[in-house]
Amino acid sequence: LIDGRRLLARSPSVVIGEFESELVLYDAASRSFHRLNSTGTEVWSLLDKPRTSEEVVAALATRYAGEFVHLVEPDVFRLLSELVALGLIAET
Amino acid sequence: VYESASFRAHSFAFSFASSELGAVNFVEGAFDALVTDAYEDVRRRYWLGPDRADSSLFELSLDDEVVVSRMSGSAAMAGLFWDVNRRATASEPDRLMIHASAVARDDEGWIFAAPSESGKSTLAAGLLARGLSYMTDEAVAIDLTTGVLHGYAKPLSIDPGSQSLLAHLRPRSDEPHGWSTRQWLVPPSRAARAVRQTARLRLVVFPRYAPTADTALSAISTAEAAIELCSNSFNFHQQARAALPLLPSLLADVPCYRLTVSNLDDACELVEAATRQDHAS
Repeated sequence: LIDGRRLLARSPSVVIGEFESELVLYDAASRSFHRLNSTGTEVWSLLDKPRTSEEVVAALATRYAGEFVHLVEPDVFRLLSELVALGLIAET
Repeated sequence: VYESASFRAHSFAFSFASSELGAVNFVEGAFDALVTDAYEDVRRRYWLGPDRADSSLFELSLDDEVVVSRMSGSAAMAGLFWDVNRRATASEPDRLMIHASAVARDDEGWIFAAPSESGKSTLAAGLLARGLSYMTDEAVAIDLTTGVLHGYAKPLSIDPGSQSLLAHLRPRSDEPHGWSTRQWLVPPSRAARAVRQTARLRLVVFPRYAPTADTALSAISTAEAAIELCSNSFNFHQQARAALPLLPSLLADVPCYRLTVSNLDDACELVEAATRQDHAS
């Protein structure tokens, strides 16, 4: 579960490769690869500095003028919780 | 004591000496494409001779370091090829070292990256028979800033399961024998019309031997190919921070495929057709 008021930050052990329509993440700590689609890439880019999950959703809402955010929000929370579980981002 | 010529496998330079003339002839034949007269200052020397504890058996050492001991001649020779591979793949820390075979057409390099027993050597041998140049059947080094491939023209290792498909590579009766392993170790000069040391990356294929499946080639994304390449690398973990950000541009215009192989001729034809299609487009 994500605590909406805690900051989320990229793990320093993660290296990225930016491909045409995907982002490849390599976690040097676990020696594992992960791929993010365009939505995942967007969320990752918003974590260029530590943000709360609510800030990530708000930034997406601004980017898309509020449209469909109520639909996207559960997906963003699910993605963030997966990234936390994988150790690619962490609550600080 | 019989001494061989000097060889260079990637950046590992070595020579071989033995009390057995046949062993030196065997090694010189197998490594005929790696002969060099440079690197004298960093060259290391293998020695194969009677084992110190049991003179009916053999011992292999590198300078003063024992590599294998108390082995038959052919087993000690297998130890030599294993040790050369190991040191060669660790000798280029600034390049991404991929577990792959590689061939070239003119200056265009095609790599076939996969774990052992996936048919890399067999596929390369099939393409060499069609006139392509040989780069390696084990490890290709990629310079990530230039995209240049660096080959390692070791002898082709043909497993027993592939020998019936590649009967033309059977060791000749006039070649040094008695040191062979269960694999055929085929000198590049016998397997290919030409050896190429460097080429630019133009095709990436991930082969998988599947005897009951249809032979098929399927395109994959550059992201998927990058992950596969890194997963088949000997040294990706050591240079991930430098390597991964460079792979998107390296692979940007390079066709990447998965290849399921049950028929060697069909697989070679599919690979060649893919490169013809790439040129046409």
